Order: sequence, then structure tokens, then C-alpha cells
Amino acid sequence: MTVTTGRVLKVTWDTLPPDVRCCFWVGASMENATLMGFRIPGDAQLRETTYLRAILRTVVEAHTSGYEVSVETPEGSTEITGVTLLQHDISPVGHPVHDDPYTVTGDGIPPDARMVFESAALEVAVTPDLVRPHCACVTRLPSSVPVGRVTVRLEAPGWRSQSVPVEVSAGPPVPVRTLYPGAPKANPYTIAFVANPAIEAATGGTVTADPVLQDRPGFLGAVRYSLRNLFTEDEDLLRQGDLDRHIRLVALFDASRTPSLDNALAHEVPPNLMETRRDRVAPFLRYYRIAADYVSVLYSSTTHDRATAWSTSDDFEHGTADFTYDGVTRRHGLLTRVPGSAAIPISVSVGGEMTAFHEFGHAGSDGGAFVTDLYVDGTDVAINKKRRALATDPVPATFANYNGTDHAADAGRDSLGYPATWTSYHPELIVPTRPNLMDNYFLTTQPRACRFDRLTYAWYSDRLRAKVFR
Amino acid sequence: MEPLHPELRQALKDAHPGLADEDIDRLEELLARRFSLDPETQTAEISRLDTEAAELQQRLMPHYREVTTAFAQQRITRLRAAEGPDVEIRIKPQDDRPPA
Repeated sequence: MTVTTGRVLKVTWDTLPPDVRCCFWVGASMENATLMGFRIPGDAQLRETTYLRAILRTVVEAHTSGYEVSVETPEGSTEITGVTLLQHDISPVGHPVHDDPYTVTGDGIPPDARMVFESAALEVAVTPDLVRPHCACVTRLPSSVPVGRVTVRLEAPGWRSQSVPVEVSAGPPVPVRTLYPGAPKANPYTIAFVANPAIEAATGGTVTADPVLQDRPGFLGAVRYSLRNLFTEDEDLLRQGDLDRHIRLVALFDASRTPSLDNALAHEVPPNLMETRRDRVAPFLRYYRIAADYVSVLYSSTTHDRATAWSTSDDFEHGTADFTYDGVTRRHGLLTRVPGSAAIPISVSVGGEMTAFHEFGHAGSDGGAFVTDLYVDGTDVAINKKRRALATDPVPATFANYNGTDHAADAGRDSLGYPATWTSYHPELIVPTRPNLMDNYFLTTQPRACRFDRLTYAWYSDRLRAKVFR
Repeated sequence: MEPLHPELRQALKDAHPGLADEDIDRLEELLARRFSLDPETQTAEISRLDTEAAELQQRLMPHYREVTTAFAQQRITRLRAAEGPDVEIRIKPQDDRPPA
């Protein structure tokens, strides 16, 4: 068996009825390339035709992508018996476009990896906005990356991936960009970052265009902030055990949408809040063939810049996972009837601290098992909050029993303390000196070190695993 | 709901002499409670909370909108100065370049 390896430098084919003839050149350069060819006879059996056409498709794909192939021919024969596209140790996601997000996936990517684009004359090294062992993501590909055929690789001190040919274009940006594909299945747990087309006025019924659609850099900055917030801060709920390897991430920015009540995903709430129009979110995404579990609606406003979230409504008809809370059996729906959603201003990417994760904390929970705000006293009992009969009653030692295990209460509410009039109390913290992520993280010198409490973390871990591995 | 930033709380108190932390906390409770309800089945309660919050805000914090808008505009201004991508461009030595 002879194996010829290299890039497919040129492909020609012609039809001389009833035959199809294909010639292609494999090698490093045309000067030393090996000419290869085959013929698809017009009178060939269907099985042979299908096989030869598959070879032709592979050769053309290799020529277009620049990927190397290995071509097998029996010893002393020119008959091609197989063509294989060679594997790389990294995989780009989609085509690189200036000012658009771009991701390269792989395995064991070091945290200090950089994305290096190499042309004949230049190397451009870009520091990704998010690096995880399975992906490196740049949220806005710099225009200094050369346009045309280049190679991309990931590189860190003492580590370097293979180089993969890619075709860089200056534009236009792609409206729907997969930031990470997630588990290879039909319905991976999906987080979507969406530029909101229109804002419904507080009084209802009228809409204005959301300025975010005129501010692509601002949108991408908010995506960058959100990715870092959810996947790189001290709170590791979404990345523990490489859980995020299975989570699909999508960014949607479609500047062509005309503002209308149908595509207004945000609604002003006095005095300065913005809420999602949660029932409009899933239909809007369906237009782009996106089904999400959590949607971050990114918007711009100079009057209503306070983020809020609506919880998920689980689908209990298509698979559930049980848990017990204080002895009562309850359920997580594996699928989503209405996705959790948060309205997050793009201005939050400066000084917003843990807002993206805090709002996910609400939105990722279910309305019937809600993770609530801890910085006010007067909300209903939730997964992470209970009440005493009197503010003078001591905080009980045990907060709740979750799946057969007692979880302690937070006796002193860390550095903040329970105000004397409060009857509510919270579960024990993972980091006792930092406010809870669902509390007011602005009241500490290191807001980004805030984490969930132990009970909420355990409950949320089980919930997310049930959904992610559904 | 995003927690109230302490600087915004202070700005509200500065704009409304006599305003107490308890007054702000009461408004915060009404707003936070709204988002803990079921928007499909508890619309009447959400509407009631909205009305109560609006009355409280207008009575005790009539300048709320001006204060929060100024705060929001500060955030937008800081956004404009936010970081760009970290890029290093290396020109390859002539010897490393492939023949034309």
C-alpha cells in the first residue's frame, strides 16, 4: 500500500459522458506534488459510484479547507482505494471574521494559551477572552489578523497545538455565532447571549429600537464580561468537573431586525429596572433555530440599567430528576418549557462585578424551586432563604435537609450581619468571609470572590448535571 | 435583581435629605419580591407590587429617576474606555517566509 500525504493543491474534474474524470495534485507545493486521478465510469454500479463520489467530495473539501489528506493506492497501482482527511488536535468553530467572536476547541488547552494566526509574512497572537481546557474564545477578532488563507494554532509556554488552515474574512459578521458547540447531541444545555432588538415601554404596547443593535463592540464586550463571569471567577458552579465542556454557548447579534413588539425581548420596569419579556424569548430564538435553557438578553439603556431575571419554567413532561428538600420529594425537569432569562445592560461589563452570575443564579432555577435575593428580608421562602417567627429568635443551626443531608444555616450572615429587624436567614456559606453571591456582593472589597452557599451549590450542581446530561 | 450599589444608595440619600436606609430597603423588597413571583399565575400580585413600589418611590424618592440616570450614564461612559483585545503582531524574518 502506498500512502501519499499532503495538501490538495489543485483539483480538476470534467464530464465526458458517461464518465466523470477527476485529477488532483497532493504535496507541499506544485513543484513536487504527486498527480493523482480517478474515473467514475458511467456504467458503474450504484455502490461504486457512491464510493467514488465520496472520494471526490473529500478531495474537494480538503482543497477548499486547506486540510491535509492521505491518499491510499495499492502497491504498483494508481487506483485510489481511500482518501482520509487528517485529524488535528484543535478544531476551529466556524469561519474567522473580523470583529466577530471566534473559538477554537481542543483538549487540555493551558490557561495561558494564546490564539496565533500565521500568514506568509506575519504572526498575530491574540489573547483569548476565555480559555478553558476544551476551548479558547476570542469575543472580537482583531482586524490586525490578516485576511485570506492563514493558519491558526494555540500556543502557550512549553505547549503548542497543530496549525489548522482557515480563511479569514473582513466581514460581514455572522448573526448567529456558536461560541462553543457543547455536547454532540440534539439538545445540549444551551446558554445564549442575545442582542435585544427592541425595548417595550413601561406602560406597554409601544417599543423603541434598542441602541445595543448600533453598538456591536458594546455587545461583544458584554459577552466577554459574561463569559468570564460565568466561567472564570471563584464561583465554579458551571465549570466544576469540566461541566462546561457539555454546555453549548451561542451569541446572537442581528442588526437587520426591525424593532417591533414581537421582537422586543426587554420591558422597562419603573423606577430603573429592565425585565425580559420571557414568553417572547424562545419564539425569537426559534427563528434562528436556537433552543436555549438560559438566555442573557443584552440591552443598552441610560435610564433602566438595573439587571433582573425571570426563572426557568421546567418541562416536567419529558423526563425529571427527583430531589428531596426537608423530606419532601420534588423534581427538576430535564428540559425547559420556558427558558430562564435575564435582562442585562451592556454597561454592566464595567463595574458590574458578579451581576451576570447573580442573575443566572435566579434564572437557572425553577419558579417552583427558586433561588432568591438575600439582600432583602421580605421575599418568599426559597431554596436559599427561610424565615424565623420573630427577628429575636436565634438563627437555627440547621437550615435544611437536602437529599438526606443536613445543611447548616449561616448564623451571622458573614461580614454583613442580619439587621435586627430581619426574620429571614440563609444557608451556610462556602467562603465564610465573603457575602453570598445572591446577597449584595457590592458590599465587599472583593465582589468577584463571592460564591453560592453550600446548600445552593449542592442543589444547583445536581440540577445542572441532570439537565446537562439529559 | 442586581443588588443596589452602595454608591447609588448614597446618591439617593444625598438627593433626598431625610431619606432613611429603611425607606430604600422597603422599595428594594417590593422590587425584589416582584421577581420571585410566578409571572404566569401571579400577575395580579405583580401588578399590586408595582403600584405600591411606584407610590413609595414617588412619595419618598421623587428624584429617583434623575439619580439613577446619572449613575447609568457614568457606567456607559466608563464602558467606552473599556479594554480592547490584547494582540501581539510579529513580523516574520525574511528567511522564515515561504518563497513567493
